[in-house]
Amino acid sequence: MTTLLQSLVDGIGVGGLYALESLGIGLLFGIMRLANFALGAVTMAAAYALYVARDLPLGVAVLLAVGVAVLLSLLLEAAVFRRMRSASEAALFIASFAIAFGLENLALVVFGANTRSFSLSPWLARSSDVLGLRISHLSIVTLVAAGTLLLLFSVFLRRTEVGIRLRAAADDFEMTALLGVRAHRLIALAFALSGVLCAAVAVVVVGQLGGVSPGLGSNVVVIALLGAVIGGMDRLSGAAVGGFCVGFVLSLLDSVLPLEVRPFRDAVTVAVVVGVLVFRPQGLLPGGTLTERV
Amino acid sequence: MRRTEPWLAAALDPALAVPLATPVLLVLAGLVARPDVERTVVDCLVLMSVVVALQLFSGSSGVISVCHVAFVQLGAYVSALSAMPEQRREVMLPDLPSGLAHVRVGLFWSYLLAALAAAVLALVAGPLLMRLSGLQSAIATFALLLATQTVIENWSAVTGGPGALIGVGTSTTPVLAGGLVVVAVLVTHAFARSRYGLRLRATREDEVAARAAGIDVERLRLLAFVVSAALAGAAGALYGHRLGTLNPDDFGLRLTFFLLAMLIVGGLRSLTGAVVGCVVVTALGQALLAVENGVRWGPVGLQGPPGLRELGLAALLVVILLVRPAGLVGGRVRE
Amino acid sequence: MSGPFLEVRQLAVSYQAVAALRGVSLHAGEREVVAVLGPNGAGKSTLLNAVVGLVTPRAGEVRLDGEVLTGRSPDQVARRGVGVVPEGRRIFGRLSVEENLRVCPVGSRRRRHEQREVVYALFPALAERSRQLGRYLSGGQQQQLAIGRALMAAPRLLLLDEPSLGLAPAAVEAVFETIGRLREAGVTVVVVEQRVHQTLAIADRAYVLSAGTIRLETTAGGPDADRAIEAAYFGEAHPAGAGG
Repeated sequence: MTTLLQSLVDGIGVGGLYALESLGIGLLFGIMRLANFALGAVTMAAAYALYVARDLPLGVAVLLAVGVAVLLSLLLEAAVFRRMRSASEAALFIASFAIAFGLENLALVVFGANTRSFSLSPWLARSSDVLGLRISHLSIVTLVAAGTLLLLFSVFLRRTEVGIRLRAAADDFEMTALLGVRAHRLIALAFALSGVLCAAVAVVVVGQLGGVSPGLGSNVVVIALLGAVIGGMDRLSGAAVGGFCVGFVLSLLDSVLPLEVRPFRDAVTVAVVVGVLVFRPQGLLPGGTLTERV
Repeated sequence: MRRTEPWLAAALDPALAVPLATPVLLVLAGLVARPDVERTVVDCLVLMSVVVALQLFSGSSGVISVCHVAFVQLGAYVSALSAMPEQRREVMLPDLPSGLAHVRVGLFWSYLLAALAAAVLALVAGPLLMRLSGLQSAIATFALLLATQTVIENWSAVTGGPGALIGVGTSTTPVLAGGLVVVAVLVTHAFARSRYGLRLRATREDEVAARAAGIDVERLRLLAFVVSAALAGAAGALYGHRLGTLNPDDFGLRLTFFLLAMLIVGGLRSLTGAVVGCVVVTALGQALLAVENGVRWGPVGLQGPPGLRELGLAALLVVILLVRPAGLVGGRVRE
Repeated sequence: MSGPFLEVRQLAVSYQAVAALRGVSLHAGEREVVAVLGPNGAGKSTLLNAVVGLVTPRAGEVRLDGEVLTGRSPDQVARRGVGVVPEGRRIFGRLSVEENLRVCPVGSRRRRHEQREVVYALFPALAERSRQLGRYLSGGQQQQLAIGRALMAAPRLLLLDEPSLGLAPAAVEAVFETIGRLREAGVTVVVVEQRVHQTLAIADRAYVLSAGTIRLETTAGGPDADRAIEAAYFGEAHPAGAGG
């Protein structure tokens, strides 16, 4: 019973983590039809920033990671994606895939293939008793950080005018421009925000793995992308909820499924994704009606 | 009224000059080269078959497939396992289900089995995948790739699991690999010229109009997908017998990336593009790999870090997507 | 700067090799309601898209109050006082009515707040449904929202693309009535329509666009306006028309 509860707590934390990354994917897809595989590489870059700043106070290191992720995101927008506005969705996806692959290998060139082990804070590795459950501090931090960030984003997107504009742009980007919204700035803002989300994911993942390797980001972004598809990519809430569900279910299955069946866990996930794409391309959540924009 | 044999007409087409001459030249180069260069040539030829197979599907349908590495991998394992001597198999895979433990076929038949297995996978997954296009298709095929990989990587009793499957043998020669390229080119060309290929191309230009004209888009795509998968599976068989050791990591996103780079750098609208893309990507990749391993030109020494090759190829692919989205050979800019 | 308030001169637009507009010229004075009539595929929407910067013309020029608009991006055109009610309304279905009105960034926060009250006064139905999602509004209410949203920037020129399309007769009437009121409020209106008679009833002048060229320019109140337009509409030669 307690193990199940612990798995649930862990699952919610992992789900929140993927929700953050999926939200980043949804932000960019809604606005410029870019399913940004390179977000994994941005996450990885933020993780390496944490590694480089490992001797600095944690707060400074996190700020640095956010800075690196935001700058890298903006750089990719200016150097590549801005020049591909008229390209097809598939071409954009392949470009982001190529960028992710290139950056991952850049990390290999600079830092080597081996995992660089380090600890963000010794406190994170310890556990405490919460209501009779033994829960690691990292689980708590993951839960709190993911929850807080998702809440902040939700408030930002619902209450502020800029947030409303981002949601409007995800709905009909051209129309927002016709109303006088500066399109370039809005796109840059979306990229910057996706960078912030990636940095947050990086902090948690580094905490979980106790180190960083070049493949850190792509593992996250694959699941986040599939989650965003399941939830509905061009709706911000849909993408985030989809990411949460996939992360939560995978994490739970990991601790519940017998070892022999586990390999087929991913196959089932994939079958669900393909099914969603074919039968409900707008995502599983109710209310989506928009499938294709002409 | 009798028409010219389609195969004969295909072989005489000037559009085939480069796609057929390139593998022949590569084979000749591979026959006289040092063993390490010969390996590179065989790799290039094997991947060329896969890229030509990709071109068969994507070039006609306009739909991107990211899952062909799954067919390659499946082909490699099927061929390696079915052609492996029984004693070796017992040592490598003691838990193999008894029904499979005693099947053994000749090398050539193992290639056909590989092609058949890939075709069956395509036939099973295809009916759903073929309903999608654009980004949705890219993501769905990507998902299929991930699924195939996890199954192969974790089904230890049959595939050896995440560890390597050794002792496959290195029987693939340049002539064999070049022969498959020629077969793939001829099949692709014949398909593109057939009424199926022509109709499929009509769906690429205007899917709505093609549907309105009564063309069954999914079925045509499925046909192209299955043929393409069979070719990729056969190429995988040759690839496995060139590597000698099957490692799940060799068939991951890396190989997917190389194939996509080859297809897009050359231009996915023509066979010439596919072949040129293979040669360019292989040549640049080898040059960068040489730098990784350290080269000397007289007084100048150059030693690059590992990962340089992938980094360089990724940069090339992004630049091509930005500057020449239709590829080096493609004349028209893709919409 | 003299000259008409809105001036479109020799505008030509091509999609690939196909010409959609072949040298269209028209003008609108301040507080004038100008109609552009014509059959499907005549180039009406292309004309509006070229004015707002969604498509780049091959030749020609658009000026608003003397200032050149051609070559500017849609958001720059909008911030120079051009409001658009696009074909199909294109309201943000996942945003509430109020949020739809808050997307437009033109002007100070205070002025936008005041403008929102103006829009609510003009369309009381929107005020009642301010928290409702856009996609749950009726067609007529969606059209009101699209107009109200365009008015948030307090535009000097309002472009409407087939505002009556797909609406019930009562809602169509309401839309045309609204256009009349906008003129009184000091806005120049260019409305693209297929409904000839109802549009002429509210327009000061009308152009007939067909196959990418202006076939006819007429004053709405003129005695032969209806007949002339009908003739131009169906491409017949007409003694008074510019014909072609």
